[in-house]
Amino acid sequence: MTEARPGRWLAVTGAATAALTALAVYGVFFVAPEDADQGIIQKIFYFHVAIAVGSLLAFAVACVYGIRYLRSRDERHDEVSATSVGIGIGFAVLVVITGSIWAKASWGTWWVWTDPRLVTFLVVLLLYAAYFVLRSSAEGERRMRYSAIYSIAAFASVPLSFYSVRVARSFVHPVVFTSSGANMPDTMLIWFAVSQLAVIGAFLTIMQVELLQRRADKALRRIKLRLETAP
Amino acid sequence: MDASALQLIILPAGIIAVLFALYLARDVLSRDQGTEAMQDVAGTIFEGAVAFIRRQYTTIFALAVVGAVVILVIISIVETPDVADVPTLSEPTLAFLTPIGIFTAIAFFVGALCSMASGIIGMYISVKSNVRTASAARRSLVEAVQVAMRGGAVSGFLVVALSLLGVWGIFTAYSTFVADVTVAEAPFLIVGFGFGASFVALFAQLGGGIYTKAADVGSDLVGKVEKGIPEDDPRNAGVVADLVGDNVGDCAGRGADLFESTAAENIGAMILGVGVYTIAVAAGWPNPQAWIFFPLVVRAFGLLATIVAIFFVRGSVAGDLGLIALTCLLANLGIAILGSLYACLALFARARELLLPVLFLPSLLPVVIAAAGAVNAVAGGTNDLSEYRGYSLFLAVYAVIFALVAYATYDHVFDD
Repeated sequence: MTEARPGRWLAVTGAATAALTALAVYGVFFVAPEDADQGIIQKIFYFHVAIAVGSLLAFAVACVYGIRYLRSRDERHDEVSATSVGIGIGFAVLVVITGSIWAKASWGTWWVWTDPRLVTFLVVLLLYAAYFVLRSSAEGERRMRYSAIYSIAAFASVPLSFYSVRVARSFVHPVVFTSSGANMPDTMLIWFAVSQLAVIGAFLTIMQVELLQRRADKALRRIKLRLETAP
Repeated sequence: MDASALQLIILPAGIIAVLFALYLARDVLSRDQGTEAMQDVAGTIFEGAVAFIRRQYTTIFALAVVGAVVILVIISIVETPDVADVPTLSEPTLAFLTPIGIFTAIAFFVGALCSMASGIIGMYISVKSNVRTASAARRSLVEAVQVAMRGGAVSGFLVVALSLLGVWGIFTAYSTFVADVTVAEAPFLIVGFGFGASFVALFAQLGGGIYTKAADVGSDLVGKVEKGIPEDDPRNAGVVADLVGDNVGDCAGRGADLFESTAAENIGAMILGVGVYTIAVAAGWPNPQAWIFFPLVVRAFGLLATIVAIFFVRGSVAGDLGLIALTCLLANLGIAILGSLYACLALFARARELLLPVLFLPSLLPVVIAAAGAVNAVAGGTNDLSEYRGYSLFLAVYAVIFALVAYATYDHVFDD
């Protein structure tokens, strides 16, 4: 994807993300119909859900690159995996924030401890926060290996966390996407798709910027080392 | 309130625990003993257990006397004033015997006696409550759980309370009634108490353990191999010997062992408390001796808290135990697999004590949630089997998924 030469597509993805975001904001606020029941606050749905999907996608990418690292032992795969977890956590925090705002507006409270989806999402957030604790407590090659193993194990427990409470419970949380199709009109669906694409674009852009920064950092350290050891 | 007033709780807590144990014992003993045949078998087991205990404890008693004399002589010779923890008491008074040797030997002997008493009480109550539990089990699971729990609690309370009262009693006796012994020196004199208790516990566990194994293997060989009758069949006299062994080894031995553990823990912690005492005296903190009493105060509160907790074990609704056991098995499988994988990751990392729970807890939550859900489905009164099946399936899937992840990544963990 991006490991060969990070930044090659940065201009393209950056521009596309900016355009998609602008389009999504315009479409969501000015074109999409207002929710008959919830009114204007329902607009946050387009971002809340899109970012939540984006964070899970980021964790999936981390898992895939974790596997690729274990197979190839290529340092660049580890970088992509770790960056992806970082972006996923950022997205997850945004999900919690947007969700709280929505909850305050529609349920009258910032957080409901009895709602399974809220709590399990928090658990997933903690799960991935532990990734960086693990990463900071090992060194060198071992750090990459352990991070890769953990990114795989953590991703395996993401669906388990969600399903553990769905076995037999009722929810406060609205369920929009069901197995029998989306529970909303097509015009809403289109703008949701646009904002979802914007989030994915943001993921790709941030990923490239982060990878570029890491490469630059590494190159700088190499040069510094060469200067120090030079006669 | 002055913090040192808390040490006043030790004696009442010990006495309350003993009285509570007597109440439980009366309650258990007043229950129905079952049919004639059951009483007959139970009577035989009781007879065998008493005979074994009498023989074994006669020997242990003789050994304890020898041990006390050996300790008296060795401490009198070795603990010279320049190495002793309590120099004032290490001058010879009787021939070559020193007071520190005499006090330690007495403590050793008292400890041994208390430990023997704990073992005998534990065994007596367990033999008596076994037949009553079996009888209650014919009627209801709830009642059987209650009788078993209360029968076990009798020896539990007596052993811990006697250990507390014993340590406290001998400590108070030495620090108040013997001249020139300060509060800070007394813990060093009662080390013998813990040692005496350990001495008896060692022999009780070993003797009973060897006996029960020999009886178990012997009765299996004769019954299953030679005569072709099933295991634990009442027609096999060896089975009674095996059950006698279970009582003397696992109940008497465990009673003595528990006594020894609590006594030794308390005395060890009190000796550490002496260290804080010296600091407290030097720094001029109020009530320095409270630090030495602290372990006993903690134990006293433990006893009181346990009395309260016993009343919560009602077993009012006991669901299908087989299903609950299956849930525990599945949940344990998941915990074990994930725990092994993460423990291997944490093993070579820095700050591993901190790291492991941080990694483990979030991943483990689904198991905890599903296990709680499954137990609640069958034991929570609703008895919802479809919900139980859902949660159990989830636990099984969890274990399988992590077994696959662990299998796939395990090579990489140790790939150094």
